[in-house]
Amino acid sequence: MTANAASDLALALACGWLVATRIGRQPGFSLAVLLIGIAAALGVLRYVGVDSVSGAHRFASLISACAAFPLIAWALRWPDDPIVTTMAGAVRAALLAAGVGIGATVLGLSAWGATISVSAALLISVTMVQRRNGVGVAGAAVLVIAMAAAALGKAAPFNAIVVLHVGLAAALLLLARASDQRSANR
Amino acid sequence: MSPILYAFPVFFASMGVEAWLLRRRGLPGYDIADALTSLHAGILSQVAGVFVKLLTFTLYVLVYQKFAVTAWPTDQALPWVLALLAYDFIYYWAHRFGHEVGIMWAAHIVHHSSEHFNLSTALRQSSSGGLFGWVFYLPLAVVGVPPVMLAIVGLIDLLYQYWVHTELIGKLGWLEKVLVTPSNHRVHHGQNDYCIDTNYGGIFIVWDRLFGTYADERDDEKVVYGVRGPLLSYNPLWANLQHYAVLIEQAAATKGWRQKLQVWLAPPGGWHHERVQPFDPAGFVRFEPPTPPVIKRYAVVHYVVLALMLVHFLMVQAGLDMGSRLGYAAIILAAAVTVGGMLEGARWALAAEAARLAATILAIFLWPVWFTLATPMVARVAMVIGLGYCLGWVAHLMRTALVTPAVAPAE
Repeated sequence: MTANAASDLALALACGWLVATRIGRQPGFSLAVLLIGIAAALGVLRYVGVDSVSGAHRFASLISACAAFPLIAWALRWPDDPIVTTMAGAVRAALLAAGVGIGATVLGLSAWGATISVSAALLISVTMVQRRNGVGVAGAAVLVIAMAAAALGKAAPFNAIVVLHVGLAAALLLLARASDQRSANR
Repeated sequence: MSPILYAFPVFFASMGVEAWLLRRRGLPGYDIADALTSLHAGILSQVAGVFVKLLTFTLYVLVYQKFAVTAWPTDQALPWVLALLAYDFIYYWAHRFGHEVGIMWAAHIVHHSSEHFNLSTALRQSSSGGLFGWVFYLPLAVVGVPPVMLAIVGLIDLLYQYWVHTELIGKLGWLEKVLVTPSNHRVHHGQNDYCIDTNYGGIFIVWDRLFGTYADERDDEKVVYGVRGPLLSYNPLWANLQHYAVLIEQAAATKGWRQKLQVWLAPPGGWHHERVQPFDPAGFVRFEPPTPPVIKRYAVVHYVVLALMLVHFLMVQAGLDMGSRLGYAAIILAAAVTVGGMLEGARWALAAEAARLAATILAIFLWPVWFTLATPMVARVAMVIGLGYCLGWVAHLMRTALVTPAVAPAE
């Protein structure tokens, strides 16, 4: 198994665990993580040599960028909003964000997904700093680093894909923990 | 050319047969004004579809080109069957969202706004639904369903749903368990308590049975068709805009951008399915303004002209520039709206119809070629005489105020 596949597997497993433990109480966060997990699972297949799933992996990754990260930001910023406290709300928001994102991307705005996911990461960062949530700030920082690594791509002196996958897995685990802490405090 | 054109003769012949059978069996027949409203909405949806499908089908093609994992073969039977099954499954969810998401309900409510249920109701389609539905079908592009296959199975799914809009056919035994039938689709169009949010299937009703939205037609309670917030209009444009107006009003009255956004995303009954007023079928009063028979006849004649214009529009639109397409669409829209207004007795309608007729006469004089259709002088003179006669008649109506008092548009 290649490093890319192993790191995507780690991300898929982290997402699977988060979804399994949170789907009932954090529907919005769970749906977002599920979308990222699907992309990661397809990535595992792609990087172990099943080339035919390459398109599906890129499509799922695009949905993650356009819909999953904004949904995570929403869940952390406004945790009591029906958009993230009900699965119905989360699915609607994800469909809307994915539809707009896919449409914009295939029509030529190729930076749409990156812009949205970076904006979501910044909103998460601001939220965690405002709430003085140490775990959350760490999660947001790891998320930003992972995205920065992905932006460097092949120009990076390290394997950007591995850093992205591992960074995302760590960031999601930390942000989930931060979300739990906030729920417990309230 | 739009393949739906080939179905037009079947639609009209079958509506004629249905109306005849209803009369023969002594059942309530077609309400001309209601049926014309459905047909006008159908025309508008076809016209709007030219513009909407240009965008949404392009998006499907682009996603297919960029992300498809494979290409399903189109020369074998099995991929077609699987594509139809997959399409129908997705249709169930898209249709369900059409009822359960505010903005999508605003688009889809048109189809449910008739308080009658016959084959004409099947043609009462939304003009804006395509703007939202396309995203549901993108997974089919990714798994490799070619655009042509999607278009054909989509057409099959759509055409199948035509025949289930009738009261003439009763329950169909075991088929009720598998397929969408007239009986279970009547329930879908009902506003009785037991009918709300049920039977979303397109061809197969098994999806409803699987996901808990199935309801059987009851023998002890007649289905009352329509929606709880009635349209109260025969204007096909208003039918398309009415619920958007409601949502805009609600959003304007709500404080905070997140709350405003949620007005558009929430189910019509609210996030927590707040209890709606129980429905009393016995107390239901249909929207039936006393439209004079002479206006109904006028509307039927103009519908025939409008239908011919639609056929011509669909045949030539691909060769027109965008400005001409929009212009032709506006002409068709104006006719449907003013005639619909006359049917409901709206005060503005006669003046608007007179202006439309005068503008059409002027256009025939100014442009001897009607959107690529070169008309001989004899035909143009005949059209001018016919339209001039209509104009004189409308002017006479305006003077004698034959039209019934105005009906207030829906709240």
